[in-house]
Amino acid sequence: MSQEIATIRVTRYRPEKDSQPFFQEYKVPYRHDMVVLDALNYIKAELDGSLTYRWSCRMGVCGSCGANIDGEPKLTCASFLHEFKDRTITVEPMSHFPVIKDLVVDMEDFMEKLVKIKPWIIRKKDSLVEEGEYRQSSKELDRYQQFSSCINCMLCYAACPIYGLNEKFLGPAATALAYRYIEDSRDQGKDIRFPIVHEIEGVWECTLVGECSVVCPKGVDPMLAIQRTKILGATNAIKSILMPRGGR
Amino acid sequence: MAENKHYPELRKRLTPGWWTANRHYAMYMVREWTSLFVALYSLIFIYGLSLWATGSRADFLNFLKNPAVIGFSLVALVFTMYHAATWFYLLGAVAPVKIGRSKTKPWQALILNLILLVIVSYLAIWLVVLR
Amino acid sequence: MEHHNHDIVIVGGGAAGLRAAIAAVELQPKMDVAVVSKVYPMRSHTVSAEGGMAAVTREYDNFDSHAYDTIKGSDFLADQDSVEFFVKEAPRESYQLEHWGCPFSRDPDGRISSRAFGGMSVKRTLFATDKIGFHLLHTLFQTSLKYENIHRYDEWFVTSLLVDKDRVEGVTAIEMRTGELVTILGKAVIIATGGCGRIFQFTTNGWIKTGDGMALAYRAGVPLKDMEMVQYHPTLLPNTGILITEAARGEGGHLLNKDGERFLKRYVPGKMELGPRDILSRAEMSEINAGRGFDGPYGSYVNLDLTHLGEITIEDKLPFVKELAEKYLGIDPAHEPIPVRPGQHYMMGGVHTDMHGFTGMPGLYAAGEAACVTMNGANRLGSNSLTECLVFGAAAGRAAAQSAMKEISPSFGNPVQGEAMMEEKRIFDQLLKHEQGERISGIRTEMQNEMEKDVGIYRDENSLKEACRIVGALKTRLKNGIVEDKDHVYNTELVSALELDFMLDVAETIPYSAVLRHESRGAHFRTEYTKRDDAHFLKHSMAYKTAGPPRIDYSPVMITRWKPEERVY
Repeated sequence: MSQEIATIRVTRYRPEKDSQPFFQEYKVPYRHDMVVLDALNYIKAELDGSLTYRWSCRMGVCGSCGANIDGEPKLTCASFLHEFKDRTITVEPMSHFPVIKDLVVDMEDFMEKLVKIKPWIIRKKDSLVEEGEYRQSSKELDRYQQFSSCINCMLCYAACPIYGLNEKFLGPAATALAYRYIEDSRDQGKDIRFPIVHEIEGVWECTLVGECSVVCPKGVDPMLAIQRTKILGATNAIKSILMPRGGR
Repeated sequence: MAENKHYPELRKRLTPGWWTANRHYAMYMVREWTSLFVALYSLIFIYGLSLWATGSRADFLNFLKNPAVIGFSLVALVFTMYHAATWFYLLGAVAPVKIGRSKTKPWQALILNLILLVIVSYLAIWLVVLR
Repeated sequence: MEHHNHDIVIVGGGAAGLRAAIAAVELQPKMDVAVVSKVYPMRSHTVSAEGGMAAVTREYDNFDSHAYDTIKGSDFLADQDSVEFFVKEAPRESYQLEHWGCPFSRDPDGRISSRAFGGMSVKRTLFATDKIGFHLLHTLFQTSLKYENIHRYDEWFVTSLLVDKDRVEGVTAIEMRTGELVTILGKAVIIATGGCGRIFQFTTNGWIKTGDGMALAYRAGVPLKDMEMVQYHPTLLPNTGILITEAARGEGGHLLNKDGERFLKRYVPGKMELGPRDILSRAEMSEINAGRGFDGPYGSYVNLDLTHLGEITIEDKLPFVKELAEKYLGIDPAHEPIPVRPGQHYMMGGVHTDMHGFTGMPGLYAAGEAACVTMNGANRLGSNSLTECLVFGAAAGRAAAQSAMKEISPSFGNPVQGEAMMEEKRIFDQLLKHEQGERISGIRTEMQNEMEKDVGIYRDENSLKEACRIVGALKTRLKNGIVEDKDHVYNTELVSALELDFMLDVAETIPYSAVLRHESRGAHFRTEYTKRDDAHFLKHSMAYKTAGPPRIDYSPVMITRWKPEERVY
């Protein structure tokens, strides 16, 4: 039986050599249980050691290996070759990010946004660790748990045209994480975070394309976080108009 | 080594046709366009109302009978329905309601909201016209 | 050459490294800390830990019980003073993590839930569904962003330690974005680079776990302790090596052979699926070797059956298991058993340190899987390792900060400057310039296959000697390895070559340590010496780097209150 072959078309961009990106095609032996990452690893080990991409855990949790596969942002470790309609699969760097080399994108912008939303528990007064844990009910946990599942893979930014048009937009993942802390019963930093997420380039830039939640590999649903943040902000604003003093 | 330090990153800007890249973007863009038709329809309607207000019911009716206006109204209706349907669907996707262990699906929100839309519209028509 | 200066340089941004960084700045807010990591910290392999983290937090539990379980689990090779320190610090570290926002699963009274785990005599494993590692790492990372004095070097690959008169004064690192070699000086360096699972072919470990920090310390003269103690986890997916958490058994899952039998009754009748990992892995291999395993395209396996737990338990307690089984096998674990087989998971051995992470070499500390404190001895209990990262990461961070407060900043002069120039030459003028030779990927694959074949669950004199010989030969071959990618910017192939160079050094210490240990203890099983031999081998192996093969020495095991006894479950 002859070995089945898949063709992987990969964007190459080597800044020391190329002024423009181009596609390079590689033929890899096809297996039904093969993910796109396996194909890339085969290429790097056997065909072309210079192909450059990020990866680590190969189980969909470290968030390193995002790419646009046949135009859609996906994790290469979680995309089986058999999911694509033919045996030629195009792998490009995630859109909307500057490309450092081949499939490796520059994500410093997100790292700055992450710091900006202050992704840590803010307390008016810390309790002593010796007093044990802060009590939290399962119901309270449920309010933010899904948003704490963000693996920072950046697929949502690659899917968001608003971010593509305006990179100042706070964007899906950073807002989801801000909302995760806002909804955490242990956190008391709403007053600090609200002005940040409601800035001019904050949540109100979102016009509900919805693609962020479609591509999210972890079911975080950043679009929901953004809309809920809008609602919280709006109700807060109304409350402060109706009850200017202590109306929280 | 220092001379190796700064190599340009590749930056691609979105082209005007970015929304044709996938179905979801296209649906989103069409939904955004629908606002244009809704806005135009509102202008036409305001013009019609101004005819009514100045006392010329006949002028208003004649204006409405104009085939171009009828055509436009039909197009605007389709677009409005599209806007409503996609919006209701998104509403379901964005704010699913948890019932027991499972969450409602977006299409359930779409159907429920469409039913509500019909009821509210009927009530409005009844209040203004049929009563 | 560009150089940077900090008080403390931490190599590695996983649980141990981040915890050390926070501990240092909390002790001394002016402390200037650098976290140098070859990946963005949230990609660190801590992220893949699933089951939970052990700590005594309940009325029904006590420190002595946790300590005894850990020591018995270690087959009495753990240093008992370290274990006692560990169990006492564990609750504090857990609550600290909770205060920082880790989304732990909760009991109805709002306290952190705990579950049963292998080798633990009571429920003491705190969890966040089955993604504790992910949540722990992101909580630590996000919390670390709060401290302005923690400076990150994301995607910088450390290539060597800079040593001046037996004192560690910093590191050389490649900034991957530019491909430039840079020196980062510090009054203290903490190694927190995790394990070296990628030495093996079949491992739960991510691509980045290449033993860099172990090799850095080893090359600088610090011994690697107990390297023959390699943990094989009993439940990996047969094709990919993806880990299915022990929590699946903690929640009541069964291991079944081809006859549908819970075969563990023949091996650990008292504990069954909650037996320790070394024994369970060997039990699975015994079943397979007796013809009672299933045959699959990726070798023989046994079944992990969760079907009796029901959909609700699986969704609430084991959602990641469900996700992994569905995604990678197309199996719904509520309706079908999951095929599993044992594979490399964790290194009990590592850089020799004391309880405070100090390696004995002035200025050098280590913590986490990279280090060997030793609290895991010959076999680590599941859910002790994350807590270990926190307890000993914090201890190392504090110890390094205290020492840094007393020291003056190293200056960029000789011999450090000379060492850095040599390093630049080694990497860019020699390794990268090679035009003729063999691909490094081939050498890597051969190393992984050899370690898998001869340094696995069962070992004997011949297999271990063969491994010593082959790894030695591979080291020679790597000298003629070529890197095809000649670019400076983000050269992952160059980094892989340097990683392989690290891995081969570390890999060599494993069979060399193992061949001299003429006994079976914990994860180290010798087919010709199947019994534990306390008279001769109740001691730690210490592998020292020499110009030739590693020199193996020994150091005593610290026994405080628990005398070695037969290990039966």
